[in-house]
Amino acid sequence: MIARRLALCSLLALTALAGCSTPPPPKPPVPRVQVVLLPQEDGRPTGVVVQSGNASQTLVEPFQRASSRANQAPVVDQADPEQVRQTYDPLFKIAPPKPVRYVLFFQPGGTRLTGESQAELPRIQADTARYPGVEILVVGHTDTKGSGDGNDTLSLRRAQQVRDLLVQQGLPANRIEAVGRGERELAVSTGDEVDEPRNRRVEIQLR
Amino acid sequence: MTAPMIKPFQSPAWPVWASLLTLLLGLGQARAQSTPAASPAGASPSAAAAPSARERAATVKLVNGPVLARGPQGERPLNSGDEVAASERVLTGKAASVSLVLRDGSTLMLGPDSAVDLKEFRFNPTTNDGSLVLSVVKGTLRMITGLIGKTRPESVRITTPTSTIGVLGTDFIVEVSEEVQP
Repeated sequence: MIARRLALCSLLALTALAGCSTPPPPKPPVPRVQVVLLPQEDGRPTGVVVQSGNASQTLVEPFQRASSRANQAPVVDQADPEQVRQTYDPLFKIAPPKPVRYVLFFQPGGTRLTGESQAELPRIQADTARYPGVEILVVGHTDTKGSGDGNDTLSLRRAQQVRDLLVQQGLPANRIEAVGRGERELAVSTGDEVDEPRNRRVEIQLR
Repeated sequence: MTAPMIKPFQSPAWPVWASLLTLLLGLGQARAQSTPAASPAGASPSAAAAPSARERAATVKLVNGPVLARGPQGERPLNSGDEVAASERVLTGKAASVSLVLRDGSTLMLGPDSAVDLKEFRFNPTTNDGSLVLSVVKGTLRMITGLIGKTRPESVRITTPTSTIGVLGTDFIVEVSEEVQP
């Protein structure tokens, strides 16, 4: 098509010497992508890698911005923090409330809560009202006594036990997820086969 | 190898072939649907229906204005507390916005007139292992990465019409806009 039109144009140009004056049709809009790195709330190191047109750029400083077009390498500059907050205001306004965590402790070996932890349940139930579309994540942990597999099972049983207690408090069962992490995430690091009450716990997260 | 295969696509007769092929495929599909007894013995009837049971990948938190999920089963409005599955697209209206939390704790915030595909989501809450692929089709997305981003950052990827974004445990914004060419 294009080749034929060009041939026609050059033919016209040769014969009439008037040239080909039809303006080219407007080009379709092309996508443009911007990535802005935001500061991490806890101040930990952070970063994103943006890849386009066979090149990549890593953003590590807050408010660094990478702009890219199809098949072109990303171009990095520094965005103005205030301008970012204004331009993307809806993204800041719609942020869900920060998750809240509670830690409940167990008596050794089994799934029975300590008295103090048992007494915390009504407060947790009351706090769920602050979370639209609330999810209640119940994550069980063990100390390092016993085998890894056995502790996976025990940690899950502890989480399920707390899940049942929360359902008894009137919380919807379909919003509560019980998970066992075994001895992977110790609160207090110890050697193997150590009886440590602070590791026998369930962490509850409302989000 | 591939060169001779391309030939029919270029020939003017190709559209005829294509429509014929579509017709044949369509007939085959209709046949398969009308004869469920033909499925191998032992395969439970619920296995065929499995894709319709959406598996929760994310939960909707705050909703401002009209927001939709579009998936293989069609479209539905999203409200606070609703679930979104992998393979669904989340769409926001002209002045709308929405926030969602994925099962690994990743937080997604979509601005007005946006479309984001949840292309892939796998998460094992015992090991915190998994993978997450999002595609920002248009508009704005802010993402705060969750547990997969901590355990396996190389398995978290955001694609856009021009680029691919990888994360190193983080909070960031992606904007896909259209630009008029000079």
